[in-house]
Amino acid sequence: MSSYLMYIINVVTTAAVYAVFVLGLNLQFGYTGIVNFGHVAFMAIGAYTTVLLSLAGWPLIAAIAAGVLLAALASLLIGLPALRLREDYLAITTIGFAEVIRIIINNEVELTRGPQGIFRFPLPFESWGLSPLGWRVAFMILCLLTLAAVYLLLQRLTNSPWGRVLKAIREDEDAAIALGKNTRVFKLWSLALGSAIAGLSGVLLAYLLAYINPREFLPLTTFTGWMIMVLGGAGSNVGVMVGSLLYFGLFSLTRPLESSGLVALGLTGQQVGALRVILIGIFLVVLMMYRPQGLFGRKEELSLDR
Amino acid sequence: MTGEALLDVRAVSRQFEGFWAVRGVSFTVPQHQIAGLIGPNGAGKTTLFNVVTRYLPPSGGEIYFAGTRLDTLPTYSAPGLGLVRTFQISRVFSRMTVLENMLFAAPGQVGEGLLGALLAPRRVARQEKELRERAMDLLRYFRLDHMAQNYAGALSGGQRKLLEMARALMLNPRMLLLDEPMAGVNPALKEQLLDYILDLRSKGITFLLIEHDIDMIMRICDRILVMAQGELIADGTPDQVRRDPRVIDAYLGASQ
Amino acid sequence: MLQYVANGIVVGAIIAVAAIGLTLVYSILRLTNFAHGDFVTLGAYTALFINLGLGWRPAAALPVAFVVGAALAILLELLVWRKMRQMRASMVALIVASIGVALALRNLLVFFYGPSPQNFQQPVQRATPFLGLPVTMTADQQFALVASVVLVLAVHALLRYTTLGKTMRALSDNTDLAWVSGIDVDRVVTWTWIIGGGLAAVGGVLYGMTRPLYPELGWHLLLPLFAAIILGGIGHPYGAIAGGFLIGIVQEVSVYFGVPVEYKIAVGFVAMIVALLLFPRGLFGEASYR
Repeated sequence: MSSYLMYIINVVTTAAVYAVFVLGLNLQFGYTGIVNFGHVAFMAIGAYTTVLLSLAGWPLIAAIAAGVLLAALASLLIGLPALRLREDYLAITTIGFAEVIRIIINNEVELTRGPQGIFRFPLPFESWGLSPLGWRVAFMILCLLTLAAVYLLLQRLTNSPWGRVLKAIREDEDAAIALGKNTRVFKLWSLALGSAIAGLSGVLLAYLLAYINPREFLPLTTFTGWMIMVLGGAGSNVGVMVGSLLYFGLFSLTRPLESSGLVALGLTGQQVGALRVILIGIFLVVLMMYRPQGLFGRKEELSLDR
Repeated sequence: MTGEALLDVRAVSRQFEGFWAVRGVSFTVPQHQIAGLIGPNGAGKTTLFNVVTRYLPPSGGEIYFAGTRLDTLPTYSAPGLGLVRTFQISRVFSRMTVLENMLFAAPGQVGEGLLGALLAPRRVARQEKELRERAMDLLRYFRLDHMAQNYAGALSGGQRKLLEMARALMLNPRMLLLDEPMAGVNPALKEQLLDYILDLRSKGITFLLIEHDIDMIMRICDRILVMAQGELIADGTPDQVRRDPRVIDAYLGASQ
Repeated sequence: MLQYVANGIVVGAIIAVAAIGLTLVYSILRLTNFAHGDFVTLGAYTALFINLGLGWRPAAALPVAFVVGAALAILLELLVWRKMRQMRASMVALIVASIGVALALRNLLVFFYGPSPQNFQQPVQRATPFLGLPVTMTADQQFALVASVVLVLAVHALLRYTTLGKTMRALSDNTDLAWVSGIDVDRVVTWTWIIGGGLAAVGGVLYGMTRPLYPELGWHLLLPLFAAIILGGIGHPYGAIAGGFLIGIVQEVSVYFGVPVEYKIAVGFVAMIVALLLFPRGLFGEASYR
């Protein structure tokens, strides 16, 4: 019973963490049209900065704030030169940026402990003396509250005149400039804010896993984020949250059945893992072929079709 | 002429990899005038337009609008000074409603800043209400008010042209630059557009338009500029231009 | 130093072979194909399969790899890309779909071969002086270099002297023109995939002869590949070749100047960013800014 409960808690928490991650991506692509295929980099920067600073004795809140801020600043580092690029070049550049960040984390062993990862670092609620289950529940609530806060912030922003400018940029940046808007500044803010949110999700991910290592920040994470976004329909914040729950619900709840069944057929754990990614890949292709607007998106709001 | 120079283009040139698309073009447009820019295909009209509105940097020359030098400013600053352009193929924001298209265009919105959007909801709401009224007035003027809540992508070609003009008016422009407003428009709507342009001029707006429909341009323009092969070859009233042998040559030459 | 340049030329030649397909597919089909790197991997593993199964030398597997790469490319064209073109899918939808293909393909290899690095089964080779120059290469490196140069020349001949090649160049220079001018587009598209998929797979075999194979081999080569074609100006096969050599040499020589080996990919990437900033149209052409 309690292990099943633990499982549900885990799924909800993971879905919430990824929903935060993808809400940032959705601000960038769904609302502003910025093609960011390196989103995982900002998650990694948030996670590593926070963990390393709290290990160095910073209070958690300050470490988290620094992680979020650094993720935003890093996005400006790549955004300043690259945001003017056409979308395909931007896609390549952002992927490349994320890979470089990961390579740095992997190789700067003195700073990050490299491929070994970091196993013990300060977690929230540690001084409360909770049982493992109690901690899981408390952390799940923290993640849900964070998600709610990010969601409300984004709803307010995207429904404001500020959000209207972002949407206009997504639709036709030249026309937006012709009406007197300094679109570059809006794009940089959108990128920075979305990346700060990714940084925050990275912090949550670190706490959820209770360890971090560079393998958690492979490009696959970005692509999973894209899948969640297009599942729910890019440009819809509610869609992102539903998409995340659906993704982790569907994939995680079937996991025990699937693995025990497939392992019984003689497959190794590695092969089952590979099979899952193959399915993700095929699903992405099919989704793009048949429903690029997402499962819930409306035809006239086709976000991936202009 | 009817007033002082509003737009002042001085010896503007634009080069593309050794080819002069626009070369040494100078002219002024005084206030309250409707000026037409014509010329055979490839004469450099749209390039000139793009240079004047800073969509392309000039290779040489200077551009002044209402006394302010434009060509050293970023592209987005011309509309704020009162110079607004439209595009040859209307560019509406398809997945935004007609009303949203209008509201977007208004300058100086408190809610366009992140802090304003987050911390001043009442001021934003008040401003939105005012803007919505103004937008609806303009939409009524262009008979688009019944479409206000539709996606702009659902509009017909003619309606898009009207929306583009209505949207530009949200900026209270002093001058409109229209790139082929009559292209691909049915005769009835053409007459309508004509009336709008004349009416807006009577309300104090200055126009410069590129047009292929010579009939139209002769009817509404006070003044016509003719370009051929990147250069300005004639500048005068419709009657003067009609009789100018260089203009006739340019059109005949281009049609060979 | 010379030795590093020589290594760079070998890698660069392989990058050039693989990059030609990427740039042709991009310019003719308007597809930024993120699965291209995984065709490289597929080629390498095809050679591994033959090497382990039949005991052939990897070089003997080149034609087989070409056929496998070309066949898979055509299969995907029929299953996915043709339909997406017909429905006028956006650039981003195409990119996402190609990432899906990349993930599926790569993990198919993980499924059968596992994630760890593997080597071809063959006698250990000693590096010997090459053409009397003060540099040494293994026999496989020498073979990879020569084969790459031959392939590049063959593509050159195809593009320059055959009707098909001329049509392809016309299409890649001006897609709109050619799509409406009565060219047998399907035929050109098919050949684009044959050349693109086939050369990528062949490039993979050659690449595998110079280093261990692992499932992310091609993915990690993809960024240098993009760097090469962006440097060369996307859509220009000759630019891609030049860009390939440039990236290969820059990457290897950076090691000589004290850049840690692990940062090789990063070096190629930084070179690309610098190139994008300094030459927004690539060294040869098309605008990358909107």
